[in-house]
Amino acid sequence: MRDVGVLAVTARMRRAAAARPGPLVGLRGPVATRLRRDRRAVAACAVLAVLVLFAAAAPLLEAWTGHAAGRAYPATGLDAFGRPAPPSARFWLGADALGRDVLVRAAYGARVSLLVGVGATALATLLGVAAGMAAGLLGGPADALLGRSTDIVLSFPYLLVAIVAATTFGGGLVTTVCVIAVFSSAAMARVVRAQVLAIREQEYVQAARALGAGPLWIMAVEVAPNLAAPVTALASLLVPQAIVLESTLTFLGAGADPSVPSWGGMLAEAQDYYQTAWWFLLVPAGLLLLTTVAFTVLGDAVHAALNPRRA
Amino acid sequence: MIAYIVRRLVGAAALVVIISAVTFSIFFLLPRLAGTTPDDLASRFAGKSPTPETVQAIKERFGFDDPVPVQYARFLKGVVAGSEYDTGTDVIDCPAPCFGYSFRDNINVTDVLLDRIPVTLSLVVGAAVLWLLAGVSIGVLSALRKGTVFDRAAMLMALAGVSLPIFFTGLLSLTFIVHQWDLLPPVSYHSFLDNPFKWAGNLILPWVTLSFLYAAMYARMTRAGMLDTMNEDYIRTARAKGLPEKTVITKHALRGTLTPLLTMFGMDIGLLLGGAVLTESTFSLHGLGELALAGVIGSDLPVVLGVVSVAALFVVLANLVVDLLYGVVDPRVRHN
Repeated sequence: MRDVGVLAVTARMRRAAAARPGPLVGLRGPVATRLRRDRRAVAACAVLAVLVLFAAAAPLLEAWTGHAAGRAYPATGLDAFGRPAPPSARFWLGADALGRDVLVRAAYGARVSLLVGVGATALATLLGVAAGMAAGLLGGPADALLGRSTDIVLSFPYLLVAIVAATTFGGGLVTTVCVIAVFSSAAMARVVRAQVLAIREQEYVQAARALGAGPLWIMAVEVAPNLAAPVTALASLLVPQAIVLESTLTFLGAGADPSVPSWGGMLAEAQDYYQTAWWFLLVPAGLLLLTTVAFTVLGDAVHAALNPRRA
Repeated sequence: MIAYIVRRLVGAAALVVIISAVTFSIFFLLPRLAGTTPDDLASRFAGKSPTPETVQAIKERFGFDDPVPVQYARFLKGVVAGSEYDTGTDVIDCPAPCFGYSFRDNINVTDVLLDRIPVTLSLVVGAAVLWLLAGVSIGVLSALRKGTVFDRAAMLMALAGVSLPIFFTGLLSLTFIVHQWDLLPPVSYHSFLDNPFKWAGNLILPWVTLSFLYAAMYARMTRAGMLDTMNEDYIRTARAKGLPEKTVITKHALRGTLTPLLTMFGMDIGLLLGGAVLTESTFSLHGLGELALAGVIGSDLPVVLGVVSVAALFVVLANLVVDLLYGVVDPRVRHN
């Protein structure tokens, strides 16, 4: 009988806790716990950790192989007919059309992809959350303005704008990151605005308002912590999109500088050689696939952990 | 209902004007901010290595020294009322929807657009049919058979689909299916009216490649949506009142899933109709996207402006149609 009493008490406590939601995202929150138990999420994190190590170890790989990323080694990297050397003890993942080391270049390419993916998403999140919260908080004309401008951004052929921006501002990673961030932030702003509007009508927010809390206090204390969950879920899905977009832009010649080794650039160079040198195409394509899949799986897992009903 | 449509049409027209204004500013203002002078602009219009006289003439004729709003008003006037271009040797008449004149290729932009629209339209509509059929049915089946081998395999495919850039899948399929194994004829565009079989046969590969990406996205979304709706109370009610499972799924669950899908479909198809840039350039199809890409790379501003305006028109129209379809899919939506 005592057990039932304890159960009843904990059930009541749980209900009370649910009435005033604590932040869901946090190392000890329910979301983190569910994520830790999700094998796919753990596997994705492991893959991403390896990729980060791979990117970080680029200079080490340069030292071990003795091949600088930007230098061509035609004597060893190309055969007598000028064809790139296949994977061997000297070139672990083969050589490219100029006789450069594919492994070393792929490692430096990982830096570009990860930096652009995470950087653009961080910037997009910052912009989107600020705009979405402002619209949700101010309402009225500001809200309408945001609605219309996200409409415009989302109906814009972003690939063309990205290319124009690259040609006017001289390409490079900063331009690429900014363009991707602006286009991704529209989706983020929409999600944040919808969430703010929904949270504003929650009972605990009304209670805070009744107790005399001002709009800024409500935004910072009541609304913002509860935005963390949907924002995290969307952000983790924006990262792979940004990575694919960067490699696409670079492939088209409007992304990373050609002198910087990047996966998109390697794919573009490999286009004419993949029938003779499969490794030249397969390495950047495989890494790109691995990275985006890992981020997507992680994003799905975060999403599932936030909506346990759906999982 | 009619009042609603009229109001939405007015709003749509306004949105097209705004988008074209934004495009105009991007192409005319951004270069100036980055330090481009009207002289540079004029020489871009003039094509490669023009004489100073040509540059000066173009600058005066187009009023590149005018403020940007004045120039934009001139562009709008051309679209509505047509305009004339004085090339010095003769006068080119550009009738009513005049999106400009490409001095690079000596061609009326409206003509090029009309030439390119059928290609993109064929590509996108064909792919859309495929991806809707495949994406939605796979998504529904996956949700109903959650956790089975089918579900896992389908979702793994979908994961690969959303993760691979289209230029990669396109190039790979082109090499193997067309060049290596000779399974399909080379990709090209033939008019549907001339020979529907040739039209379809030569477009299958781009259709499949483009729809692979979108089918993957739609399958994932449909599955998630179905899993969500299947938990709703009204599904339990429908089952409890003894409806056959088939009716519960098609009439109750799928309907609830369709609304967000429809929103996404409107945006996707609108954007793609304005040019499936990557698919077109991968398969060398001469559609709007390929035109815009060539225009951007060759600094042919009138062409880019024309494509973006048409693209905006498609986006706005697609969204309008979708908004009207909401009422059909979701009876709760009332247009008043």
